[in-house]
Amino acid sequence: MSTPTFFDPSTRHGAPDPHRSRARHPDRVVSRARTFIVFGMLGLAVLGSLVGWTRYESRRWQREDLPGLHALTTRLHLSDLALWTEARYTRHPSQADLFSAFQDSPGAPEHFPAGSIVSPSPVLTDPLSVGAPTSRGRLRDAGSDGRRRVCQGDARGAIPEERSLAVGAARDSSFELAFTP
Amino acid sequence: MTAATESPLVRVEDVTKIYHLGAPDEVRAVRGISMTVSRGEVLVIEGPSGSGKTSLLTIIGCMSRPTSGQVLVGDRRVSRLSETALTSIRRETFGFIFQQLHLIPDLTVKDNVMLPLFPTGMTVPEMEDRVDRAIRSMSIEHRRTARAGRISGGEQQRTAIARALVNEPTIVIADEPTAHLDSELSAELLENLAVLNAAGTTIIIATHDPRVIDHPIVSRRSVVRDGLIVDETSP
Amino acid sequence: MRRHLKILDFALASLRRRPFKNWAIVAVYAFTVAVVASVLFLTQSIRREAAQLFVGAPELTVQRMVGGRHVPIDLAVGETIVAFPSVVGVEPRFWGYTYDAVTESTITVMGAGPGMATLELVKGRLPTHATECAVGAGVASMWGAEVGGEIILIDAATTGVLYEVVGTFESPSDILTNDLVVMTAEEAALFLGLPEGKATDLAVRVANDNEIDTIAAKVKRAYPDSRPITRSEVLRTYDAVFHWRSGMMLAVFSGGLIAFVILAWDKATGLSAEERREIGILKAVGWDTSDVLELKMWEGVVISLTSLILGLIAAMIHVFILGAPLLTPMLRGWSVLFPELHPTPNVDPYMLIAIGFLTVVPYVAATVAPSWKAAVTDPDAVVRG
Repeated sequence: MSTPTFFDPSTRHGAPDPHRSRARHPDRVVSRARTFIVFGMLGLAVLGSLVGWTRYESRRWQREDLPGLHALTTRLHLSDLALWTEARYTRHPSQADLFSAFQDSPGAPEHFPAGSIVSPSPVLTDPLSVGAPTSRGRLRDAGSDGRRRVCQGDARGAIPEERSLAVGAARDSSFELAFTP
Repeated sequence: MTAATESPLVRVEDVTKIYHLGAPDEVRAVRGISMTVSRGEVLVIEGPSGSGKTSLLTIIGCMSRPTSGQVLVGDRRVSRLSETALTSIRRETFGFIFQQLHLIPDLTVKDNVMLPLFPTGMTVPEMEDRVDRAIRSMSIEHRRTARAGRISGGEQQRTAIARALVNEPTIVIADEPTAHLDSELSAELLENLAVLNAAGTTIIIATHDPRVIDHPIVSRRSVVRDGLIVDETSP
Repeated sequence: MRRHLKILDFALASLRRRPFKNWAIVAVYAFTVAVVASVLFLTQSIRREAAQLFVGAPELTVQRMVGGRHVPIDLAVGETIVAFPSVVGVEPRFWGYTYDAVTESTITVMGAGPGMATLELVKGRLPTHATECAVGAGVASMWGAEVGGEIILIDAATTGVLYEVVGTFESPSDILTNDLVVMTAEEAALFLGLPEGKATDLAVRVANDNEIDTIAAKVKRAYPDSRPITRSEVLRTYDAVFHWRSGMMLAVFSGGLIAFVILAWDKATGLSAEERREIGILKAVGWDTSDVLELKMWEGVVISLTSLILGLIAAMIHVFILGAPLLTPMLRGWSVLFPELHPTPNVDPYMLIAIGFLTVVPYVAATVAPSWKAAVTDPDAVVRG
């Protein structure tokens, strides 16, 4: 004999529940999860569309604006962005010398905030850069005027000819300058 | 086949439960209890507060592991099962009605009743169906969408019972189920338990309420004192 | 799958129980993501623009240095350099700055050498006579100048000189030309007070890009007091702009990090008694440890993913559609002439993934980890109250 279930004697196995109706379940389980997933997908779709739009705009800029900007850069020999006009080394960071960054004093307060955005060009501190001031050299013995000249080494370590030549033969001896910029 | 000849649903063999073992505040809640629970019976475990009733219930109901001894549910030794396996047995076999009810006050009555069904493989319509039936059986449809923290004590008790029954357990364990109920509601609860039992559900009740102890549905009484069964009667 | 959806649903129900608190967390978190993402988008956009713009810069710029200072260079040096093999042209650059006390702005004065006067991005034309000039948008706006109008600038001799504005630079070039006043080369040298026979520096055009370093080395050997700056060094300069170690970026990221740490701390300092009790109830009614942890994971994912998506959308709209109005005051500092930013929309998908990873993973970890202990505890402890 089949035993009735506790909850409702009429709901034996297989018998449909006459009271059950989807219309009576406005707060359906999992609808919250589905709603979240739908909104999440919507959000991702918006994000994806924005990313797609940025790619389109980027290509459009390269196609339409960049040629004109190149022409300008080439015509006027421009080398820097016109963003921060407070100081020489912020307006033309690629052309700046060490002096202008420390012209007040090395401990001077920064031209906030541009100076905290624009660090000194790495060129200034890169020993391999041809233009960078270098403190290493090979000492030559004194020339006829008694001055001991240091020959500036180039990036590859070769000793260049001096513009003002030492008179007479000189013996090389090398030492390193203890200079800290 | 009668309850007497069938093998027991639950067998407890020389089980002890010691809290804070080795510590200065060590408590020996159960001190070597052996007992069985047969299919279809209504077992009352009676005893004063602190006698070890609740600890015994949690061991029977696979909610905690005994310090020593073993528990068998059907043929399975559950005392050394993994946590996952134990949880599965607990969920499928037992329905708990806690003394403090342990409802989540910010959840609706419906969501509280539905709690045990979330980790199951049931479909959503099946879950809703079960919940509806459980809620209707406890006559709290009108409170379905109310927050559990905002309904009366009696309605909370019925919500807790509905939650215990929603998984259609084989064994219902109730810890002081009439603690928050007046006479009328207590009588209604016992009626519901009687119907449940008539449908084949085994019931274990821990109580010191004489209304329950002396109720006709009770098929067996065990008296617990200081962690030991001191008396057993069948009215 | 069904089980996971159901646990997600319960997670959403849980979050909805404390709507104000959770929406506040989403708002703060999304705002933090938006700020950090805005800065990243804007700075990356400017860096990429610079990288693409300055491929047109001179291959070599030769300066003269005295005492570490950039000083005017002899035009004769250019005559020497132009004789080097592979050098196709040397043009002296006459440029410098002038400060206008009335507007408190610093203008870059630039001489335009011989060449085309009409360009796509010049409305009107470049100056061809000494009394003419072309101005950038910032200067035009500051002086109220337009094509056909006039401006007066004070030269190095403190003389006020009147110039007719024959051209203005169009908006897409603002980032390059905003503060420029372009004159003829001769007029610029006169205006800036450059000594006769000297230029600010020399722009050297080299036929073969592979020869640039060689020519730079030759220049340096020939003139040890010179400082050749190659185009790649210009590009590297702009790579270093907005470097993460720069003060501004550190300040922004630190702010974002602090905001996140506060959020995570609130989570990671452990569960409240209520949360622990709830986990115990879930365990007691038949939830597995893994179910409980999955629930916590979903709670974390919902909050952090929502914040991430909202924050990124807000950042992209703020930077690429509105032109970063909230960041502009931070960037412009004391600059009086600051261009209107039209950052080229440029988003690196890897950056988005990195931001997403850094947004979601730590927050989910901070949500799940404190629940671990409660999740593995026997529910007995709850039952016993």
